[in-house]
Amino acid sequence: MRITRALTKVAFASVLAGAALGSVVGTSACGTGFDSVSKLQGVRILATKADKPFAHPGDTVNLEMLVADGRADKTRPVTVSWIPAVCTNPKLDLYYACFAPQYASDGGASDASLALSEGGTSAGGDAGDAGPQAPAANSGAGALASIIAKIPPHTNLTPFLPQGNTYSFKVPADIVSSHVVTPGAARPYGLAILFNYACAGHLELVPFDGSGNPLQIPIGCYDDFGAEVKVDDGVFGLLRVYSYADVSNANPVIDSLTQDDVAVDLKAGITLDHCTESRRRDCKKIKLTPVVPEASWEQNPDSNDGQGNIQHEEIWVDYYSTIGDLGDDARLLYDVGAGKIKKPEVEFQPPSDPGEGTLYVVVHDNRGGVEWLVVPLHVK
Amino acid sequence: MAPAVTRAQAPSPAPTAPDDNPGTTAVPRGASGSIITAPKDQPPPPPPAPVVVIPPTLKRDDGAEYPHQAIVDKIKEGVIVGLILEVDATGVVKKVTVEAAAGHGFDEAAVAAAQKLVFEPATRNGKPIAAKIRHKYSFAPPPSRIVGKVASDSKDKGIARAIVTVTANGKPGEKRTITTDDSGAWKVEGLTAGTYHVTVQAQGYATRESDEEVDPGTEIDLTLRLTRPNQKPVAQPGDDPLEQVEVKVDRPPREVVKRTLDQREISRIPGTGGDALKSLQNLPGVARSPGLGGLLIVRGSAPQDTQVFIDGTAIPLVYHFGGLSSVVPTESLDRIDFYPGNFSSQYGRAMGGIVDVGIKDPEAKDKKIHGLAQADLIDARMLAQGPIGDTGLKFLVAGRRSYFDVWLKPTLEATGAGVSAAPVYYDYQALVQKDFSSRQSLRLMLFGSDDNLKILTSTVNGSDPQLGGGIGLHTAFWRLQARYKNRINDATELRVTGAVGQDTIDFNLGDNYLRVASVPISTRIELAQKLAQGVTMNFGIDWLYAPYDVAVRFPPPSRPGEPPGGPFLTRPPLETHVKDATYTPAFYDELELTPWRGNRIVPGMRVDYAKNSKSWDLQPRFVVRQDLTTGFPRTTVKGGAGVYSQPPSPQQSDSVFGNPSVRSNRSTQYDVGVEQEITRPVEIATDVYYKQLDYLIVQGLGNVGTGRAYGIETLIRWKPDKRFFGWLAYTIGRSERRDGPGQPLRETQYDQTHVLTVLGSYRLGWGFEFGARFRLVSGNLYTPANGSIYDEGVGAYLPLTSYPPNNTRLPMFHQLDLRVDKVWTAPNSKFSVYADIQNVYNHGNVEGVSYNFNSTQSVYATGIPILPSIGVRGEL
Repeated sequence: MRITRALTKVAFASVLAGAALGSVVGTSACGTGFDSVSKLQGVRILATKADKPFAHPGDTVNLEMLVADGRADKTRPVTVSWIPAVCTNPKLDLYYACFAPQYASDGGASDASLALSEGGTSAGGDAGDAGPQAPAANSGAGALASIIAKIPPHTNLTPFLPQGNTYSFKVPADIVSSHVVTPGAARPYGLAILFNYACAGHLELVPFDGSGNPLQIPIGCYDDFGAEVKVDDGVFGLLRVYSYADVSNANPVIDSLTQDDVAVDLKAGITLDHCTESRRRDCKKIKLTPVVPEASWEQNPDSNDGQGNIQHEEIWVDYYSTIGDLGDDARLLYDVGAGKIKKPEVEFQPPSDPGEGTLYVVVHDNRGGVEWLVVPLHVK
Repeated sequence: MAPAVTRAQAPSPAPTAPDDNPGTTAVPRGASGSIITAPKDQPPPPPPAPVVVIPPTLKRDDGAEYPHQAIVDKIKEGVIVGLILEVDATGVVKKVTVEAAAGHGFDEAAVAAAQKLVFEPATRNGKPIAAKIRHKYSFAPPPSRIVGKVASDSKDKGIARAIVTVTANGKPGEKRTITTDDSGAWKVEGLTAGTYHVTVQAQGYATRESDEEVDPGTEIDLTLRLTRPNQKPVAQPGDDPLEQVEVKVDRPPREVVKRTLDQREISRIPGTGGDALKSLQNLPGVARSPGLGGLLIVRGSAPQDTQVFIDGTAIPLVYHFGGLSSVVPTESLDRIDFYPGNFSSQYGRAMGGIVDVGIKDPEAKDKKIHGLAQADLIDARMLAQGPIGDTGLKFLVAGRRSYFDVWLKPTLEATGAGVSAAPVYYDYQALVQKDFSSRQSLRLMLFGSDDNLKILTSTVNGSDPQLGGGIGLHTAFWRLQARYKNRINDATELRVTGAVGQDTIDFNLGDNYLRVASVPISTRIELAQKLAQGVTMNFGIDWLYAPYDVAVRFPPPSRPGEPPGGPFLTRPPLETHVKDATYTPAFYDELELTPWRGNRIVPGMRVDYAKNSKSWDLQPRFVVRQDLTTGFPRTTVKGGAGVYSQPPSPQQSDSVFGNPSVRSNRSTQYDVGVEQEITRPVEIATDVYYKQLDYLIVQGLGNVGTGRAYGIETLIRWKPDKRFFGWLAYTIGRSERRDGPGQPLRETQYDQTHVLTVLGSYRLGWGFEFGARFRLVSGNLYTPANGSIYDEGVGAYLPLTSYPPNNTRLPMFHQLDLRVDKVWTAPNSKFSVYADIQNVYNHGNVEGVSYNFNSTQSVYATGIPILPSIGVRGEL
């Protein structure tokens, strides 16, 4: 009895169920008036694809970032910069343990290490250009925080950082063995975290405010006048790459994109008329559906339903567009147990004015896999 | 009368010289006995002539007054005071000497009485002489009496021809039976000091019993209010005959604070929808739960720190679907006892409060089966009860099923969700009771609850993309409970409750799951034994054994005070499958001491063992109450202190999700308060509490947490009368935690500084009743976010929250709820409708903060808007 009582209350079962119903009868957060995440109005990182979503120790992992710039004013170009030090196995796998000052001297962060991205290269730069010399690989706990502590605040970092939409790094050979053993984990693993910044300006080091808050980004995006840019002008991102000795994963495959059940010519894009209705909801909608083959719905050997049945990956799709309106930000394509979702389509409404835009279709699986389509939109 | 004897015949008790040993003569209370002796200094009589000595003869004795001090000191035994009197030749008492002091004013009373004695002087051969004699006074405690009134609980109207039986405890033969007069008054006189058991029976009312301590020479004014057990009073014009309205704050016999809500109060509090446990949120010390939720946040403790029982058997779930409605419908309830802290040793394994829900005993007084049915927008319920033929058995069956799946399923499907099992819940209670006598009964009860839903959502949560897909929840429990009560004699009572049942949780979210199957077996045995006058011992065993099979696959939760490291469900999950058993035997013993009138001291000790921590928890507890006044208006001061341990939950001691080396959480609780009757129906009670928390288990770190909760609770109640009941409850409090050495002391999410609730319900007549509730509560704490970092692997923004957690408070909550009931009564049936309107003036109460996708913009998320609900009920 006690077990169920305790587990029930702590294990959010009822809470989540109540939350599901609560959307009907409880707290209301609808109608907030916020722009949808799918509406691209600024500099946005949409995804970063690793050629090996699950890397083996010692693997070289090649990364490719999908960046969109939905700004109306693109006077300052967007540059993607990579922090050339890969944070491996931070304390409790917390990303902020890589740079928060309290983890620099925290003995509890002994499972964290920092390695220069060995052989790290980017399309627009060279890892060898990395300015602030990071300590040697596997330099110990809270090393990134230690590095940051040695650099004067507001130092312009951009010249020293590798830049470009692609980047490569080599996974340390001991990344799995050096990770603290986690009881209950399906198998031993290691974690590498990479940080990057898509910035319409240059990057500067930002001092910590001393509040003790570990959630402080140590790098900021600044314009030529030394002012921090607006939110839409820069994004700080991270990518987690898990490593296993004996498990791998493939990125999902997108066979095609259909518009009202007809395959779209991805190069030509989608052409449609602008909306002439006075009310947006009366505009004609098209249905878009990415076609992801069932072969991409891989088995997940570490997942089961609690009754011994192996589950599969979850696969979902995120939509973004620079013009028009999408009916949903994201849709599920494959459930872990139920499989293919019958109606995964999303509705798209063209804008009221003619123009050119871009539709981004980003498909994720829940094991780090990602693939995308970039489709031109022609609104007549 | 003292006999005249010659010295030669009998030196004793013959008259002697004053220093000789006297004889004794028994005399009744207030009278006296004298034995005369010849004074030593008298010359010996001449040998030849016989000497005839006649002792003094008592001419006048007004008797001795029973001393007031002895009444004050509650001397209950008879006392004899021996005196030596020197009586002169005129018969006047010249000197009085007490032979052995008895104290308590007896000596003074005896001397004073003796000095007023008038004797016919002693004579020797007919000549008056002085004499020294022994005299004694016997004092018996003066008789006492009980006067009182038997009244209807709802109308405060005297009940004529009620039968009052007064039996001396331990002396069954000493029984007095009286019938009340037309005004309900009654009186029993000539009682000797002691404890009396008073039983009142009146046709159409439930029998009421009471134990009264009667001191010597005192009068007890005892008003006994009777309730109609079947809630079917005869309708009178202008009077609402619906069930009795009562809010009781009984004098807690074993706790500092015990608050009792009965069925009518529960069902009529506006804004709760008549829900059983949500009614508790209107009491002091209980925080407001967000939205329609029903979390019990008691004195700053987490909801899981409060235990809920059904007639002494703990239950794993309190609400359907986390807060929609209680798992026991109000119609099946007799009462709810609520202990916000410093509870008796009979309860344990909890640092928060205790809620004990009592299921009503079946009624069969008119040998007919009665029932009711009720329906509202959420569910429908029924109840039937009555006798089982002429077997002497009574039964009650009740059940409830939700039907919002009818309208929720298409609503969910319209959003694109696949609904393979629409949300539905049901619960049930069935019991059979046999009353062997008024002292002995056996009850078997089966009760349970079941919630189920299975949904496949095709949308994806932007902040945690894996929070989508298949969501399944099945929670269920049942208990088969046996309860045996036997008042073996006036000094001994035995209560035994045993239960066996099953708990089931089957929850999945994507590829994460929690599956629990448990078979709890529990026993609670309590023996109440009166050891001496004013000394009762309660010894109990509280035993729980629950084999379980748990399989969990979930990411590790964040530690308290630690910001999340990313979307929760994207972290590598941990998996564990454990087959083990919870074993937590406990023993407790406490004394109820009533050393003097109006006082009650309850020292107690509870010892708990927890198998998962392999340790014993020793928990001394102490409660004291003192009535400062006798009779109306009562003033009571009270206080308590005690240790309360809460063993680690299985997940806290689990090797994967917790730490196997943890031991019990501990709280040390203090409470002082005062209760004051203002008028007959109005009482005010204030408590100051302080709860020190130690050895709190922090996820993954062990017993490193500390904390405290403190505050003041005030309750002003208008007890139910013919028309009205209501109260004002105000709590000012604080709840703080420190998640380990060196960590900041932070306020918890359970901290609500001010909680004010004012409610009342008034019977307008002609079957109408109108109620209102207004609440004014501090906003909840939250942790603001400002900006975000983008997680490129899952396509989600991670909020950058401020520090420390819970550093900002939402705006104050205020809300008015109204309720109107209308009842139509026929001779053998009743029909009622109600409308319950929450948030009448549609205030946008802030329950949280909503952020845009990258946490750079925010707006308040508001709770329920104006929300009317209606229901209908029929009763036979």
